[in-house]
Amino acid sequence: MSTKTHRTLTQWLKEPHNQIRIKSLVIAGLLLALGGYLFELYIRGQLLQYVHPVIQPLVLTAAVAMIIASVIWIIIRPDHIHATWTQIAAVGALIGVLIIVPARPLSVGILQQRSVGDTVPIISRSTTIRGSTENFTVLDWVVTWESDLGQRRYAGAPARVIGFINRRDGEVFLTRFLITCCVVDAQPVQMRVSPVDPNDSVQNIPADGVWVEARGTVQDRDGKPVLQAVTIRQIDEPNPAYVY
Amino acid sequence: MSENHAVFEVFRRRWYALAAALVLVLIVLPINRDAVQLPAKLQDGLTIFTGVIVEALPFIALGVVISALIRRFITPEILTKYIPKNSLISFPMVGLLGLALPVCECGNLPVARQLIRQGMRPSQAITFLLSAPIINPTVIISTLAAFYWIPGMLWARLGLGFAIAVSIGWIFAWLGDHHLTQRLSVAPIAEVATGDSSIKSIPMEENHVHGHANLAGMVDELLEMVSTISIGGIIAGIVQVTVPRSTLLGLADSPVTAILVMMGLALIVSLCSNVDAFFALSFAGTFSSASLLAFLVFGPMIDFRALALFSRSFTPKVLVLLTLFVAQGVFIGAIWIHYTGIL
Repeated sequence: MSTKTHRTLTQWLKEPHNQIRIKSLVIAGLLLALGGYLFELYIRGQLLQYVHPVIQPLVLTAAVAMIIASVIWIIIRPDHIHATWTQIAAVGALIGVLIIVPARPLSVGILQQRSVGDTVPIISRSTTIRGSTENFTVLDWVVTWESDLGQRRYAGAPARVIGFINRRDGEVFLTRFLITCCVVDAQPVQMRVSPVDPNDSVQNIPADGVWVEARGTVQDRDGKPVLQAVTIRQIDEPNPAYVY
Repeated sequence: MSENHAVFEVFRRRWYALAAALVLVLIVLPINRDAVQLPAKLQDGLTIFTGVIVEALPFIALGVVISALIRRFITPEILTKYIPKNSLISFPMVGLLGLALPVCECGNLPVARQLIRQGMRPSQAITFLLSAPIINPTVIISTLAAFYWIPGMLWARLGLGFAIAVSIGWIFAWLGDHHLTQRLSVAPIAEVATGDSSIKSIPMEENHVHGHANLAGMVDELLEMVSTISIGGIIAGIVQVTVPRSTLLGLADSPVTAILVMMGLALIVSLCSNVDAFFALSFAGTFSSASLLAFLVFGPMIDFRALALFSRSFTPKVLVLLTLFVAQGVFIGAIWIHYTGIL
């Protein structure tokens, strides 16, 4: 039997061209995993838990590019690789974390970190406001109420609003997070809700953080919209949970 | 043939390797991550961290591709030809490069690194890094869309950003180019444009790249940027779930503190400059125009994400100086604009 066939795995690993070969394979795997992860988020509809719909095609393009690059990488097998094992391990660890982190929206607990008052960006939001008021989101109502015309036109209109419950200063709010670019810039958009039946205390409204669908009519109170709710029904968390 | 040898043979065949990688990914990806339960604060921090990575990846990839195109098509000779030796002219010219290379702060570091490798002075690259996230078509359009109702906000943003970027470039050029950079892994800095013999030139065989060498360069750059952006994502995630914004905003009780607070907010939120104008818009009712301007100029230049990326190329001393210079420039500029009533 030749000497070559008696090499141990350790000896094989010590040979520089074999080390490059392994490094090359690992890098291809990382590219494939990163691209595959982004692609899988898109397929599962979870990409919108992280980015605005406008960014989604860009992420998808990057995912496909990385998958293609990994295949080309394996086919041409470059022999000059400058990436260090430390960088490779760091990217591997990053992908490991990304893969196991559940794609969930920000929780009610982060409201106190994000809350900066009732103001929301006014610009470019009006495009979504059309059709039946029962399709208005929390954001649509808040933006509509920014103008006197909106208040006059929609006071008393029927509403069906989805959001999670949170309480502040003895009042109950329906809240959604608004994403401008990605979840990093998420800001709460809130609308007061009160039961239409005076005997029905706010204590009977579900706990903070619970997603609900509230139906009723919207009235003005101190220049802000308030949903006079006839029914407040607990629902599953919507996907996406954000407004854009 | 021994069993070991058979294993080695498998690895030698690239198609087997491709199949092995695919199988690995198919095994790993279907993990039911939704079953994982984490404490709310940790989950929120990881969500923000993931958001930073996912949002930044396309822009980093774009930057890497542009970087590869520069490597392929812009030779040191071209740079020398089109960028004048006179610093008074060359730095302002570099400050406008963002108009032609529209990448945000995530994507412009690979571009800047490649420009340095192709012969651009590191101090000029700093001017590019600071100005390109502000002076580029996307940011101009988004700023105009968000602040059309504040006359002068767009021009103030562009003007102040440009002035700071060029001034800081001049300062670093005066301090000396050869102490600025570190760890430019693919090829050392060229002396072509600088004329500084202490800076090594690029080996020509590395500069003339084709096919798989170019792909290798791109993938190297991508891995380096991705591993670095993770640090920015971790910091942004931790800070955003632990520091209440209301506390920060409560400190803004005068024009001066409002400017400082908005600069602090820009550092914390680490937003992409393409959209930060819309974020700033939500503070328009409660903060002065000058403090919004400070947010719009400081954020694209310095935030946790950018600092993490810069750390791959510049020495810690340069990073500290850079942060201080930018902070001073933005603060003084915003104060001046506030008290002169320009905004």
